Amino acid sequence: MTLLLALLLAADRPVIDLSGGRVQAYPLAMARPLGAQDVGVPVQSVLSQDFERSGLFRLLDPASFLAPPAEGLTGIDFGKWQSVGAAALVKMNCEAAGPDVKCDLRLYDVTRGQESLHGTYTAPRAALRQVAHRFGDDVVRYFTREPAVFETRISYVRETESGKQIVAADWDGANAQALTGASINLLPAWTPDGKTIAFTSFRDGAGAHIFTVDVASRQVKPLVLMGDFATGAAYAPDGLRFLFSSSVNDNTDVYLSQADGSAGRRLTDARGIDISASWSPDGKRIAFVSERAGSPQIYSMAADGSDVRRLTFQGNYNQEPAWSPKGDLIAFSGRDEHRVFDLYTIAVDTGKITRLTQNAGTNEKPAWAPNGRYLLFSSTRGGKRQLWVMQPDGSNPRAVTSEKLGASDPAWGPLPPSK
Amino acid sequence: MQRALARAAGRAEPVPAEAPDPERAGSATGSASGTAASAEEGDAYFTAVHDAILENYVVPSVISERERLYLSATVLAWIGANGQILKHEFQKKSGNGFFDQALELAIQRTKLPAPPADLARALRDDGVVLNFKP
Repeated sequence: MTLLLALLLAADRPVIDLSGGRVQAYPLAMARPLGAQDVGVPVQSVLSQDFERSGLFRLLDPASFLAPPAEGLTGIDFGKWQSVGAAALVKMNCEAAGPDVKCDLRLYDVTRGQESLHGTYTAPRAALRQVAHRFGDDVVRYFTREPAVFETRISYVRETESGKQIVAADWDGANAQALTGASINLLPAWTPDGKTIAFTSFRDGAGAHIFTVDVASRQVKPLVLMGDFATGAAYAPDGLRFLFSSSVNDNTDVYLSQADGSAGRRLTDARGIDISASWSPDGKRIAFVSERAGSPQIYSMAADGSDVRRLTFQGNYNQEPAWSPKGDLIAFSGRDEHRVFDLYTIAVDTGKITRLTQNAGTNEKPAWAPNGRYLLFSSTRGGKRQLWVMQPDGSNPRAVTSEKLGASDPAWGPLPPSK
Repeated sequence: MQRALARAAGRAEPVPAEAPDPERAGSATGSASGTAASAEEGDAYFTAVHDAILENYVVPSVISERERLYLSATVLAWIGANGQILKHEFQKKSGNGFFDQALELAIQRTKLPAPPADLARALRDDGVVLNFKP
């Protein structure tokens, strides 16, 4: 009877529904590295940049820290960290070990006063950055339960005095390595295994054709030599097929081919240019640009070329669609009323268009991070065209490249194999 | 359950008719069934509670957007006569420790106004249910 009464009373309690809490970056403190400073400081610097670029964390000012700099990896006074506003704490102890370095990296939950993650990473001294990226990925995975991208690679086109070359770099623009010479090379596209990049090139002197370059060996091979114009490779998620555009009889269409370049099949046959194809993450649909209605607009079609649907109706020049890895958004660039290109997303389900950039130079060629959390793009906001990264709502833009003559055409490589 | 904030939140939810409960009258001199004035006072108070908690309600960005779509948690909070949150307990945790931790922080940081006299006893003894979604 008493229990029944309690239940009845409970049923009478007023209820308040709360939603719409402010989304805020997680306050994280990074303590001064312990051990060899010539190892720890660079690792901490790379890790800090990763965390700041991620948009997930708010790094606290070390000048505010109350804990003694020599505080160890154990016996931590969490109250002192809590009182400076930290919810999480990163500490590290790095030592040189012959030609290698060994770093003990730890993440602590300050609120609960306990260790959350603990990793020991050994790497050649030249791979210090990778130590930071690896621990950073572990931290992000711990919090988000999603794959992280600090260990991923990107590719882009580097402007040089003698042309444009394909480059591969870390996600933050470091360790940039030229993969090709500098004829006119454009539009890199990674294979899903991250071992090869397809690109469009005028290198053979017979128009634009598609080639591949092996990232490790830099060996270049022809892939599509069809006609005098073949461009814009895009690999299917399974890596077994790829899309490209080719011009035959003065009509540019989207083609589908086997990964080795064989059995090319035309998917579009409308009048006007059909170009810039991008796969949906399930490989069932393709976004592309078509001029069939008089101006370049974004369309989608089934993977066999059927069921064509127009997606954009605003503006008279929309291009470069990139389907998000989560499948819900297609990013694209569109020319606005000031004749400047900016970035937008269109929600696949609702058609809702969101503007991501404005009044910050020309912004083009969006490329999704493989976890869908970031967009890499080219922008002239800082002067020369360079690559920038931001979150898919347009927030937290950060410069990625600082190439002397400029960078463009970004492509984001796949996630590294699971460890 | 009575949706105390239906009016404040702009949602129209029927309030079930219930018999007056002399045990839950706000004060010895108050009306057990309440009056139009006290109902408005109650709504205003729950709006104030809602707004005060919302002020401190921070969703950590480390929670993925996908997870934010389905997270929810329910907290039962008891409020003292001076507006102090006397205690709180999770009736349902979200399953995400960072979200639950953020709710703990929001409740700890929230300063509430003193409840109106005719709600004070119920809020002290029975509490209020807080349904959180990101």
